[in-house]
Amino acid sequence: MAAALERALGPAGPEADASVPEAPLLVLGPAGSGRTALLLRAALAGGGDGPRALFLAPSAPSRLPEGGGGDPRALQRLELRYPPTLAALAQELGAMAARARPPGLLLLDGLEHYIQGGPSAPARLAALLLEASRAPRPPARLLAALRVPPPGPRVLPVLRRYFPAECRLRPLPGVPLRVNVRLVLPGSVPRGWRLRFEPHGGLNVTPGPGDGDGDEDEDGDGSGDEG
Amino acid sequence: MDSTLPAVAEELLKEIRKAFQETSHVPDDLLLGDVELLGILDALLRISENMLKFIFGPSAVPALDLVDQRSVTRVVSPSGRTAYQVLGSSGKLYTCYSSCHFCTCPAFGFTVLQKSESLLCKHILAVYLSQAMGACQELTVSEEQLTSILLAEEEDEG
Repeated sequence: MAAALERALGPAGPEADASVPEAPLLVLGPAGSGRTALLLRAALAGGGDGPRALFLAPSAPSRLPEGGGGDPRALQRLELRYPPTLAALAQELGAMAARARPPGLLLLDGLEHYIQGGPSAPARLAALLLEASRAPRPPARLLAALRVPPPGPRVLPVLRRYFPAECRLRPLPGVPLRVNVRLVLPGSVPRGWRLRFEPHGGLNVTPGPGDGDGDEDEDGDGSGDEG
Repeated sequence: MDSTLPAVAEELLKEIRKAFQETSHVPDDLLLGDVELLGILDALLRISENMLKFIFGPSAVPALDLVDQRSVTRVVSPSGRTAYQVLGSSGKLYTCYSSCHFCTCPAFGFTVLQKSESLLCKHILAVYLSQAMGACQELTVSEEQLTSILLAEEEDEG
């Protein structure tokens, strides 16, 4: 999924490695940072020739994207479904394996909405997603988005057990509609982009620095960056 | 700490699987006398048990007990999705996922996730060992039933 993100955003800054390993990817960002837009852009990357994508969220996005790269065929391979509860989400995920043509890309927006129950709830949700992404053959790429600060102090450390790759969105203070993106992969140099959200719904992407600024609270959980 | 086994644990389980497969295919004319064979098997099991204890800590012996009791059931749906159900020592039924480490037992939530004191709980280890030793029971269920199993609530300590 990390490679799909790079296809969506283009080559990262000069410190990027030559290749992006695939791994389940967690997108983190505060409210309004563009998590949904980023997921949809990743879903449509590759235009009409990209993989079938299943986008799941608790409710419909406020705006749907244009076809990827101006190719209207991209929207035809995107399926949008809105399970309102964890049980409904589990049914959707369960139905994936039984499809004649399962999706190659699985995207879940609004993780925080589905984390219900005891302390193991984040782990169960992550495990359900991994099971669903690995059940079809070949496995689907997995990308999930979580609004920060997360709903509890243990949520992020638990989710990070299941999502080796992480993409952090950080709105620039005092600069509306501008977001820095930092992709962190195990064993790789972090990669970066700068996003500018256009008023009419477009998204302008440029390479940016992959390194962070030090000890800022990127996770939004009040306890400094955990890595 | 991630949701898969470290390499050393994978290698140990591979050796256990190999040892069980090889002993089940020994030709009759190469078999030793019963007492000698039992002695060798006992020695091999002790070595494996010590290595299991070294790598997996206090979960090892309880996991082996669960395997001995044939407590692990592999549950399969028509689409090929799988999950494992493990009958715990308290008589409660726990669900373990196939593709990553997750178990509905309290020890997984507390010792593994919260405290990071263990790699996995005894039920997940019992699943790995049962797979290696061919000791899983098998059960086929519908897609809806498998989804219900995957959504089974975490069990309280009983």
